[in-house]
Amino acid sequence: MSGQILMIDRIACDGFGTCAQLLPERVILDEWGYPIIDPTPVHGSELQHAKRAVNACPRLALGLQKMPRDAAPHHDQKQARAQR
Amino acid sequence: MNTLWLATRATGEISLVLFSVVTVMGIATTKGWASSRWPESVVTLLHRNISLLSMVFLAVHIGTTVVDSYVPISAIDVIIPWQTTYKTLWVGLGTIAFDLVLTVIITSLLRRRIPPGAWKGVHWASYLMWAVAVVHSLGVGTDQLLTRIIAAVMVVFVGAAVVARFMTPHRQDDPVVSVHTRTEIRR
Amino acid sequence: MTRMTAPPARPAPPIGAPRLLGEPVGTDLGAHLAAFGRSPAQDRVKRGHAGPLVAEIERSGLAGRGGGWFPTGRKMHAVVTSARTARKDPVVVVNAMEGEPAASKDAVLVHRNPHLVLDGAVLAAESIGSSVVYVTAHRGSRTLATLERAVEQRRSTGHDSVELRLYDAPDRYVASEESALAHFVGEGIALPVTVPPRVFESGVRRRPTLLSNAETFAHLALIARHGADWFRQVGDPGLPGTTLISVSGAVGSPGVIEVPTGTSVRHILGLAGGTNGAISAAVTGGYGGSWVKADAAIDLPWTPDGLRPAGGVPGAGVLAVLPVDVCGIVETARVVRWMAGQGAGQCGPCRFGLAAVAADFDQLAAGRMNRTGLAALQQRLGVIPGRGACRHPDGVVRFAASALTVFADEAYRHMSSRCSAGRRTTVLPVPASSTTLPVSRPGEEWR
Repeated sequence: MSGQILMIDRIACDGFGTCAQLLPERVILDEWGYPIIDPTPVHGSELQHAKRAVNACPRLALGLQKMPRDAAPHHDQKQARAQR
Repeated sequence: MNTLWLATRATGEISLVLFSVVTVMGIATTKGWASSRWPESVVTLLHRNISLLSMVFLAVHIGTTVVDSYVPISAIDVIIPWQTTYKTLWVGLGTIAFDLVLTVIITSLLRRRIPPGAWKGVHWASYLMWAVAVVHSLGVGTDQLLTRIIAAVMVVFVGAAVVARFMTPHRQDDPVVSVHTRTEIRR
Repeated sequence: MTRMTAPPARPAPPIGAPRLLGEPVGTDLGAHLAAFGRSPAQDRVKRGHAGPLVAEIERSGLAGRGGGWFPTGRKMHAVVTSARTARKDPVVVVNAMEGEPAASKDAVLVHRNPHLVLDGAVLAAESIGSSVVYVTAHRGSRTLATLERAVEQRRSTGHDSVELRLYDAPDRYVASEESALAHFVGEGIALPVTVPPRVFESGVRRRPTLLSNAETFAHLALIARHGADWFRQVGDPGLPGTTLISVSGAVGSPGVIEVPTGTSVRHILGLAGGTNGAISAAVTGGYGGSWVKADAAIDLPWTPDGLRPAGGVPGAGVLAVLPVDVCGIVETARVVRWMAGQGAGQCGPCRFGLAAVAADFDQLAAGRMNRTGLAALQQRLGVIPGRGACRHPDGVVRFAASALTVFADEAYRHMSSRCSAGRRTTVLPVPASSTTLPVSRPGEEWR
């Protein structure tokens, strides 16, 4: 099953929150309005919502990356830890 | 002939109003002006969609102008300014406004493929485009009171948004927590 | 197995410690050559190739001494590979910034043996195909002045086959972050950039960059002379060699010492003059490292794995000891307040998150926090790590969270507006500058 992973450019991100509004299943906002992103891969019908969220970001900070064949990238492991 | 001329003027005014709304929505996007009814995602998507709608009306405005044989404006005048004999200056300004908006729209459609600084620089030109469009409308539409009323309302509407844009603190500068206050440690 | 051929009449290799902090040589190049001999001759390799020194460094087990403890040989290989695939010439950057206020090891090393550091950087450059070495130190520091003199000596005698360029970087903690430093060398802006790509792939002007700590390069210079086997003679077998530690706080003779890796904390404290009275805890690694309880850590070996049971980290070689009569919560509040202002101000979780944590700690230190406040603080500490553009917020959160664990009893007392510490003195060095976060990135006023 091909999945993609949500990536975020933290410097470009300005805390608009459009991603959380368009993809609440995957993105929640911290108390300062910045996104906390679920690092698990996005599949199927959810993917089209994710793409919409990616396109809506006013700073183009959100992105989707095709999953590498091996383990999840280090970046997402950090975020996964953050959400525990 | 007369119908085309009416269509040109009507779609011209509608375009101006729509582009004014687009400009204000762009300001609202960057400032984060939103509510629960109008969340940020809606504001930003409206900004983009209305700009495309404006382009449709602008296309009709330009199309009817060129097709209309009553005024000697040809296809080349759509992108090269100040070549017409009819109201050279004012029509030319319309051409310039169109050139500007075309650049803004194209760079926005290609936003992911061009350097971010380039996109941002060109996008600033939208303010200029709007201003030129207003002047264009006043210059070519001098025989209509309605033109002046619409222009005045748009100037107030967009002007207020522009002032607010630069006079209010940027979202990220919100001094929710100041980093350099020093609290005295008491025992 | 390749060995470096040493030219005749090189002085014998030092056995055990000290290796870097032996007799001070200073900036005089002649004295350095007399003490350590010339660097072994090697040809600068072509781009994309790794010289024999790279394999030797890998074999030695040398790991970065700047806090990352990443295997240096592997890093050099990664730079070479990136240079090959990207078809870009690699560069070398020496990090002599020493951003940690409680650290002085790089300053001491540079003061005593600047040419060892520079030798190492030049040798590394030659072996990975770089034609330039950038050396960075804090503006106005003595380290910078010393390096200026040392570099000048080498330049005037045409000592090196590669170009040495010295840069003075701004005095901000975040400027020594690796992507910020590479950004500064390349474009003059000492702010971190989005990672990935890491600097070994794309650093100074998008070139593959070998960026390492000054001490790491000094060890490298000695390995090139005496070999990997010699390097492995002392220290922890998994992470061999010696390491420099800045010991401060409640010890008899604070300063920088050189010990084999894996030395126990007790022994390290002994070398620094023993403890001054009873101690409760210590900072390990730096202000982005973590607190440890004294009795939990005292017999642990100084390695990343060794200190882990007490929650400690060797980091940038910092050990700052807290006496029992100084309040750990108050000290943490001071450090966190300073660190919160030392970020780049580029991303929300760091900028707002650390400011909130700093405010919380101020409240806790002042005895004005209740259970709800503490719960909110804990929640914040859970949500900030991993969400900044660089690891600065992660480090500060680790430090703050470790304080809540190590000083749990003290925190509890503070919530009833009491403090058990007898003295109001402070032990941890925190710069007085009330550095403010930049409101806008330099050169980007219009937003």
